[in-house]
Amino acid sequence: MKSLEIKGLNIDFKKRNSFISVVQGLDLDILESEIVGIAGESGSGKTVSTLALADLLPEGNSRISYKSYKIKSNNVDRKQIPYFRGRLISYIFQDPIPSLDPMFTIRYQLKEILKVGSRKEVDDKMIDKLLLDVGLKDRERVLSSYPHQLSGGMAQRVAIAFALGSNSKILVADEPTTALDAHIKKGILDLLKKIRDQRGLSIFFISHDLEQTFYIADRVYIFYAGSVVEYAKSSVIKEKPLHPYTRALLDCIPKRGVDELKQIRGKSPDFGDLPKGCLFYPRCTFAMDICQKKRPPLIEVKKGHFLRCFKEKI
Amino acid sequence: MKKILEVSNLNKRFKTGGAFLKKRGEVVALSDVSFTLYSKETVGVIGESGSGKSTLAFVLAGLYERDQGEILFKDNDLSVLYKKDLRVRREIQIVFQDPYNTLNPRYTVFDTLREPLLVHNIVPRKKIRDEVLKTLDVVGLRPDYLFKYPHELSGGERQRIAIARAVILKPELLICDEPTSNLDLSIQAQILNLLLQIKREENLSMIFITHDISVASFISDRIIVLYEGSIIEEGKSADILDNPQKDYTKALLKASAL
Repeated sequence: MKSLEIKGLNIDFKKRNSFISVVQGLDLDILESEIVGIAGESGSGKTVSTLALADLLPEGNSRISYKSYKIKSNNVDRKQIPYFRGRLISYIFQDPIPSLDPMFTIRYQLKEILKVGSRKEVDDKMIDKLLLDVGLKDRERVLSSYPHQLSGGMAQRVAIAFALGSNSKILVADEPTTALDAHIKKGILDLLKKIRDQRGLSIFFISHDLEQTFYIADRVYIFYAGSVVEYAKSSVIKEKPLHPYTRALLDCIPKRGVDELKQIRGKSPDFGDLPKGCLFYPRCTFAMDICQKKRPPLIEVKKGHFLRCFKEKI
Repeated sequence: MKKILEVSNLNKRFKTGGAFLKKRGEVVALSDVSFTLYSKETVGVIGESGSGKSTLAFVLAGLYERDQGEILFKDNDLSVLYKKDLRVRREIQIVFQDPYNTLNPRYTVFDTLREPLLVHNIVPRKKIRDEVLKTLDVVGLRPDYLFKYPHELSGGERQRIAIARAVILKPELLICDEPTSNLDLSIQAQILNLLLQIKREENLSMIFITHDISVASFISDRIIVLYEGSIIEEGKSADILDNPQKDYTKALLKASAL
């Protein structure tokens, strides 16, 4: 069953006196106990779109609109969404330490969260179990620590414990491994997978690293300049990426024995001045005349494989 | 091959604590590090955080003083050179991890790139502008970037400026301390290509510090594995990656492969 579904999401940001469109007509959904990867460069709207799911964008400076927002196939009123924060949807961010309160020990903060999440008295057993679940072995030390005393990997595990403690059904992991060392990354990815299996959690995994996304996600959305250019099962995209942008991104991964990496020419478009046709047109190596004039729609080229490109149609 | 850098038994310790009610202690950042860098070679230094990678870069760049050991730069003692012969500061340049903090926010790109030329006085004043433009071109930026401030630039562009600031002095040794770890994949590819291209054209030797094994395997001829301040394995890139000898290296490679 779909645990969350949003259709036709538009996000505008205020710049001086006008609004510029940052996310256009985005459809996003996630099944129960599914990991959905969201990949793209910085500024492609990955974070903004997922923040909008819990109405976390600054009021006044941003405008969010959508056609429908469903939780488990039930329509949700816009006013209810703020109550989802920390109850239905939890977030973990790139840098875990600022998301923990520096003035309180981990024990105090965990207790507080568990109290809200479980609505009953919290005993040490619950805390112990939670820490065990996120793979923190040195429990006493972690619990009596303040956030600054934790290493990056430990802090990220604590942040995950916080998200779990609140009993959320959907976890948004926004580049949770970017600030960590290469060899700790895999541990965090495996942990997220394990939690998904144990608790039936739905996870949005946001990353600019395609290798990680393919490793962890069941389904992958590729974002470019505020819209989805391709989405399919992660094994499908990994085997046979169709969109020129996805291919170009994959070519950017450093490899051995190559004299020069392929790179994407130009840079991401300015949101105030988006190209009229395909958003990727100015940087695309396969660009055709039609790409300049018309913006391609997102079409299903094979079952479950959606693509926003004219190339496949012809 | 010509040796450009010879490091032997390098040690660096940091004092910790000593503040109110805190015990004094010592952290060993580098212990008995020895290696040689040949001319036109790229050595990748890998290891986890806290393994002393950045300390090594800082000591080599003269930003920290070593405690013990010897560093020979083209057969001269580097620490003596840093005190007496300031030319060496031109010959060894460093690019840092964070392009957001290493540029002066009140300097335009032109000011940033002009400064090293003025300090080292290697180009006649009238030619400075030409030299700056030439270097901008080398790092792939158009002349209209000349009067932009760092806040107007993206992360990749800032890192290009940081690289331009280093290579404008025509150094012989370029130390890169995780120059791409804050950048997107597509920008990372551009920066890595740029570094390789500059290295080829300017005959640079390079020390490239990273925690990303795939980056290290792409860019380096040889790889050094650091663990808790000492070198535990060293060898040709292919040897280290395909046939690691030490358990730590094996674990590091395994954990990094997805």
